This record gives sequence, C-alpha cells and structure tokens, in this order.
Amino acid sequence: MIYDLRLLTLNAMIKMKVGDWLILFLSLLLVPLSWSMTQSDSGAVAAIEVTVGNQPPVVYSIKGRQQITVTGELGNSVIEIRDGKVRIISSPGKRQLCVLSGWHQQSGDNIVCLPNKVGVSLISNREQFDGINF
Amino acid sequence: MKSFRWPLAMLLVLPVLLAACGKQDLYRYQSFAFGTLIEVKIRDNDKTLADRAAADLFADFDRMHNDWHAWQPSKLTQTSALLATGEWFTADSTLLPLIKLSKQYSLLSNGLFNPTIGKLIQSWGFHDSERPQIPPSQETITRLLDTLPTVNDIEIEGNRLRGHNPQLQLDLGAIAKGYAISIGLQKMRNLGIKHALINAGGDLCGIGDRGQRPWRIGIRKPSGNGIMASIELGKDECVFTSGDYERYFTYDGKRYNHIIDTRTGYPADKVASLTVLYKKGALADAASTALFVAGPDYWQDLAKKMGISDVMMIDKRGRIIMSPSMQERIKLEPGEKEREIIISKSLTQ
Repeated sequence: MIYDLRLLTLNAMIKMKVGDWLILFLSLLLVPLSWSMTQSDSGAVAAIEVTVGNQPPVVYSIKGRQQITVTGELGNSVIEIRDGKVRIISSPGKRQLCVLSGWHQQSGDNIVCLPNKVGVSLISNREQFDGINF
Repeated sequence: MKSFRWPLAMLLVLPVLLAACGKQDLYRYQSFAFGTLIEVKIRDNDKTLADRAAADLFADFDRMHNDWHAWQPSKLTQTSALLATGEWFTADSTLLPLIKLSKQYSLLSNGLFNPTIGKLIQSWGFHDSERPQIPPSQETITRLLDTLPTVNDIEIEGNRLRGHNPQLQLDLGAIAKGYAISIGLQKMRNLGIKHALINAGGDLCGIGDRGQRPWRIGIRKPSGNGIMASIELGKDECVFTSGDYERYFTYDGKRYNHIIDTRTGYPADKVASLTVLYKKGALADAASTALFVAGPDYWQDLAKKMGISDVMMIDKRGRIIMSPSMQERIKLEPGEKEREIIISKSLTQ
C-alpha cells in the first residue's frame, strides 16, 4: 500500500481538534525550553568541593553563611562561605597564598592551600567555565 | 483523529529525549601533584575507563613531580650534581627526553627560557616552600650572572650527558607541567579517552570537547579577582599564562615575582601577565615564560621565532596587547572592554 505523506499530513491537520493543536503547540514550545535547560551556562556556583590530600572530595552548599574547618597535612584550614562567595580565612601555609587570594565566586575556580594539601573547587550544575587559567 | 494523538503525544517526549541524547557523562577528579591541585575532567560513556585513566594520570604526575623536583633530592638534582662535575654520565631515561626538549626550546627562545639557572632562582629564595623575605645582594647577582650557565653548557651524545659549567643547576619549572600534561593526555588517548581536560594549577590542556560545545576556559584578571576573558579551546590545545601575581614577595615597598630575567638577574617586571595558546603543552609553558621575560618591546619578534601566534599580554598599565589571531579567539568579559586594547602585528609566519 502506498501513502502520499503530504496528503496524509494535510488530511490530519484539517481533522485536528483544539486539543490536538494544543498538544502540538506545547511540544514545539518544549523543544527550545528543554534544550536551554540542558545546555545553558548560568555559571552560578551551586556548591564547593573540598579536597583534603588525596581523599575523596566533600561537597558543601554555598548558600548562607558558614565556616568549615578541615584538617590537612600541617593543621587546620578554615573556609568561609558567605552568600555565594568563598574564601580561606586561615591556613598553616607559610606563604599564605590561599588566604591572600581573597573571595572567589566563579564556577570552575579553585582555591589551593598547598602545603596543607587542601583544595576548594567552586562547582556549578551548569558550569560557565570548565577551568580557570591564571 | 484518534490515530494521530499518540504520535502527537510522543512529540511531547521527543524534545526531552533529544536534548538528553548525545550527552556523555562528565567525570571530575582531583589530586595534588607538581606543587598544585590537579583537576581532570573526562567525558566518556565508560566510568571504569575514566576512573582508570585518572588514577594512572595522578600516579604518573606524582612520579614525575618527585623525579623532577628542583630542590628536594630527586633524579633532577642528581643529574644537576653530575652535570656540575664535568664528566660524562648516562642520563636517566625518563629525564633525557625532557632535557633534550628543554634545550631545544631554550635555544628557540634565545635563552629567555633557561632551564639551567637553578642557582639564580635559588638565590632569590624561590627554591623554598616559604615566602622569600629579601632579595639577594647585587654582588651575588653579578657573581651569578658572570658565570650564568646556558643550555649550550649541556652536551648530549646519545643517552649520555656532560656539563661544561659547574654553576649549572637544572630547574624545569617553566616546562615540566606543560610537558607532563601533554604526556598525560596522550596516554589517555591511548586508553581510548577522546574528551578530557587537565587543569594543573591554572595551566590547562584539552582534547576533544565538553559535549555540545568546546572546553571553555575563563582567564583570571591579573589582579586575581574575577575573570577578564574566556576562550574556547580547539580539539587539542593548551592555554598557559605566566603572571607576576602568583609567586612573589614584597621588600621595601617593591614587589619581586618569581620569573627571573636572565639578562639582568632580576625578576621580569614589565608585564602583568602573558597568555599563550598552543597545541603542545611543553612549548606553551616555556613560551609563556619566555615571552613574559621578553617584555613589551620584544615579545612579538620572539613569539614569531618560537612559532606562537596566539598571544595576549596585559602590561603594567593594565592595557591588553594581543595578536590578531588571539583577538579572534578571545571573548572579553563585559567590564573588560573598557580597557585599552592594542592589536599587534600578525605573528603568523
């Protein structure tokens, strides 16, 4: 049996009721919506991952205000979270590079307190950047 | 019309399925090596393979870091000690290719990348985990410059080496990370990984892509706060930046960074940061240092000689000076467009 697809489509469209048109409209609307939901790069930091030595990282929310103390090779590093930003407020490293680097709020960024082997990674569900070059 | 309802209903589901398909899982791994945090991202369908590739990479990096350490006992310090004797010796087989490459790139950079100046770097206090406190005396710098070694003082014959300057002390800090990253990515490729990004303390190389888009890298402002620009990496490309803001100390109100200009014996101080895009990690690493040292007057000629065409320099006045090909690649953040931007002559051959 041979069908003329154009005729079938035209025939179907003529017979379509309001509900059918509604489903079609919603389907077409969902295409760009779902695409943008999976592809958009808002870049907003959702959480931080704290790595100590070569242990598996621990995830903390970046919402609100809190201080987290982790114990690395040389002692305690204190991480402060405030309203979507994160910084190290103390760490036993002598050069204090991680403390001096101040606040960080960009997804993909890392703060590293090297002598203490503590790393803080700013992560996002939809990262704007896959890494930060410096 | 009933017969058309099912196909129409399927249309509702289709976009969601379409949007989800083609997305391989992205796995993230972290470890400490090379004196920094190493972050690896692998996009693949096979988590077991990704786990294995990351574990192998970290084990390799750990070994390389220990073997190539410039001031703690290592294969590199042993090699330096043997070079200083002036006698022939058989080079360590894992170190020899890196020494050969370092020699090649040092000559290419007219000596501005110089892997033999460990003693000069040490005199500035940068061979220590502590922040230096005070610059060396002018007398010390003059003495070290008078006998400053170059790669021409390393004679290579097959797998044997001989030094011609007792002051020769290897420091591969300006090439080792780039070399290691490229080797790491090649090993991942050999395992069947097609998409990966390695970030070694802010120096990055990628293969393949992120999925639906290239690997996208933010470039931090020289001030350290915020992002000034972004770049999308090619399928097999690295981005390296040398800056005056990462390792430094302040003495008597003056800031001294860790990138030493072998022409003066002092830190290169005319550039805030210099970013290079190139396909090979080792050359990207060495070139970012050499062009930083070359400074505003010489970097363009040297980049051309080194075969580097994508370069962005931020000078001490905060101006962006970049090559035309870099301008095509780089996307400045909105606030950064107010900076003075100067486009250099083309650096392509």
